[in-house]
Amino acid sequence: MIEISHVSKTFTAKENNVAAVKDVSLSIEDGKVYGIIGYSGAGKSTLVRCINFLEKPDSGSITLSGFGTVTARDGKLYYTAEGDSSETVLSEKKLRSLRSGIGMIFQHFNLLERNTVYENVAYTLQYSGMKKDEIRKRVLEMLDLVDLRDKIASYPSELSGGQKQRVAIARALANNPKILLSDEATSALDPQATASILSLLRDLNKRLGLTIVLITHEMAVVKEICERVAVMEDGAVVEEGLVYDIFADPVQPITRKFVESSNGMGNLQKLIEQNESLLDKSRNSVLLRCLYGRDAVGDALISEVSRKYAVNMNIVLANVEMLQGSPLGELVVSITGDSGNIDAAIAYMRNSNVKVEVIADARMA
Amino acid sequence: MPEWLENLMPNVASYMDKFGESLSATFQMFLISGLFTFLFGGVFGILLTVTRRGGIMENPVIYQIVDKVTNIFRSIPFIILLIFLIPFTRLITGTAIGVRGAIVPLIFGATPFFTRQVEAALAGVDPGKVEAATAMGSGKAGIIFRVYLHEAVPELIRAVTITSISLIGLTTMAGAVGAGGIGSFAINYGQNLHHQDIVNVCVIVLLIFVSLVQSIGNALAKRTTNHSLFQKKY
Repeated sequence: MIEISHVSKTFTAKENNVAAVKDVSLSIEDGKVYGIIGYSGAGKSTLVRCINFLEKPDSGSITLSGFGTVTARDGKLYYTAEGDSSETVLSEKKLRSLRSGIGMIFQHFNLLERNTVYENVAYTLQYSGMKKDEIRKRVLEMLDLVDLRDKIASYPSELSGGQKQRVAIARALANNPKILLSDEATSALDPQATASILSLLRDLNKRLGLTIVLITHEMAVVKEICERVAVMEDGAVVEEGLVYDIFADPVQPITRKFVESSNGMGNLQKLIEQNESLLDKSRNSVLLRCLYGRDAVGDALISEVSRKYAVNMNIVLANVEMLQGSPLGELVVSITGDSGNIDAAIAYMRNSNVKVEVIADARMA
Repeated sequence: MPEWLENLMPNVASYMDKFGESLSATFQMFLISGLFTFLFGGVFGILLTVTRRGGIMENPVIYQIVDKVTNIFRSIPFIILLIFLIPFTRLITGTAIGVRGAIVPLIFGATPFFTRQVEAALAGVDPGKVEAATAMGSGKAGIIFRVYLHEAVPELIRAVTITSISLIGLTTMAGAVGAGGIGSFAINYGQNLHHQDIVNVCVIVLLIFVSLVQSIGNALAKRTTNHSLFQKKY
């Protein structure tokens, strides 16, 4: 468990202070993939750097199961061991041991360019008292894990972006950490490499029980591998929950924007603005957005409603997402017919486990 | 010396022993002061890098001191520095003349230059690499040696090359304190005695030496860019 409790961090510059993280509390369960999404400048990178204290929080505390609690107060860090109540100043040694227990990967890989793949992966193992042949064994094991054994003697400049990130993952995990922090790890990669890195991360999460905290600005990444997600805006977490629930029912405007960016709904808004023929103003016509939960995806709702209430239903957009193995259907339809029948049809759909939202209504115009 | 060469430069031939002594004095000055310059300049360059704002051992006081002292000595022309440092040199080496008297001012003249070169080389190391090493639990020494110095090797080689060449230039001025060397040989036996062939030979020898240093430096820098110096086998 990673327990982030009331963490704040302000950067002081000459002219103005920037509150990068404002009183954020999150708990991240062991063995889960947890997403933190936000636009650049939202504070997500700073927040995740507070977990391994690359950034020193101004206040708040971080608890890591198996390690203890670190509390920030008055510009200092204090450490409390698990099941202990006495607090001591966090020593450099303790801080380094905390960091060794947390792997981290970055957008720009940050590999050592003058080191071979082998030496990069061995970075945390060398000078740690580990024997040479043990190091070798561990490095080979890690390279097998990321499927890069044939590149053992290569230099980073000879690798593609996706391969570099694989090396970075092997390096981050060589020390056997329980937690992996991923800071925009796929943002510099092409779609194919992104997909392969994400599936590798999912695989590592399953096989090693690795807890992954993943920062991204792309909802598609969250959709792909995260179980829970926190949405950050202006240094604060504005929405948090299961990815499925967030997709099914985004509350905050920024969350909606992220969800729409990943499912084509953003395009629909443009279409409505540009092409009014979606909505026939001369007739009773309503544009609806319907969300199907896991229980309703299989039903033949449209034809049923159409028949039952003598309304015409025209499908404008249809989409099914698979989120953590559960389907989430989305449908945009324009419905025309008798005004009373339209209302009755909407009410019927709402009763059959479908979330219906009226996007535009020609009767109101 | 073959006869044709003797005919080509008769004066060099007759001052061969002096020429040899001068070369040896130049090399002594270059090697000894170079050694200390790279040592001190390296340490000061690292100090500037780690103590600057946002550095891994941020310390404004140390940074300001090293920075200002470096600037002061960089702005004094070497020939002035040479005489300015005479009392100090005497204190350190017991004499202010000869090769021994030239070494201290040479170190003072070249170290600030090398310090800035090292600082620039280390500043070229991507802060992301430092952050990654910190995140992996590396300590200060690990970051300095395994990240900064290791990643900056090609730039450091270039710094050593350019400082070496500049140091060779400085040694020719050391003749002013009677250190001998190729510079004073060119003036005393070439210019003052009107032996143009001696001046010419001095130019050629320096040219060869500088080109040699430059090409070795270039080759090493090229080899170590994104690569280890030696081939690795696994």
